Amino acid sequence: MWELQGLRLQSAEFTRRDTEIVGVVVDSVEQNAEVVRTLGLDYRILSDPQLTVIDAYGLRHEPEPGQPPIAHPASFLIDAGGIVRWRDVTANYRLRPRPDSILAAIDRVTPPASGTN
Amino acid sequence: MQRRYNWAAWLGLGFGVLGVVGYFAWVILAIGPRVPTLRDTALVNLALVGLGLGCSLIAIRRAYGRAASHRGRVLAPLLGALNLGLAGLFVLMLFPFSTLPAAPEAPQVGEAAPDFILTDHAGNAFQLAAQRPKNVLLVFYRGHW
Repeated sequence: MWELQGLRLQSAEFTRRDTEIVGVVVDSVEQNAEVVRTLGLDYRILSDPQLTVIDAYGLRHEPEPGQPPIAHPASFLIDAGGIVRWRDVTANYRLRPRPDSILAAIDRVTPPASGTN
Repeated sequence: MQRRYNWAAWLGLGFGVLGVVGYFAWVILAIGPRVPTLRDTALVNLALVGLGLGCSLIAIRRAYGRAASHRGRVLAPLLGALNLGLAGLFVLMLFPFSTLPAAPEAPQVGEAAPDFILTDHAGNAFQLAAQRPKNVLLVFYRGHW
């Protein structure tokens, strides 16, 4: 979950681009509340213990036989029309998209909001 | 003549341990969010591990090639083997062990993102479609497992 802190450091830039950051994880609401508190996150973390949304996005991953399933790490930029405009589905769990490259993708694929430079 | 202690054997293992432990304890947790290159490539840590292996090699050469002046005929190969094992495990963890299977069903660019309602960390309902006209960056991650 170390990508959460990187996003936190740039969250003002996401806000400026009218983009809501939202995490999705199999953990419970209580665990997520703890993570938000300890990492000082200023965006929402959603709890998907039944993997309903994780399955809807085709991201169920069983790390080891017999271990509970988790989400395949992945990020999607969804525009105001509900369309995926950018995505990163990593092939190595150490490698997550960098906040700077996500911001660049937002600038590339969505029109800048009026009134910003 | 008093033979010299083979410090290079310990130095090698020290660099190796520093490189590996430092990656998990420091680079991932503290450095990664700010300097993702150091986390993604593990360059500094791999360099430390390489330096450690170099010292281990020097220690073994001293113990056997210059045995008259250096000690460590048992210690140097023992610590060297330990260091090599540690380095091998580190490289395996960095590369093959962290690969994931493909996720061919995940929505592609240009496709509609499935709408959903889930509960956030404060216990409130969150619906994807209700965020319009904002963009949403949806980040799926592994969590505590």
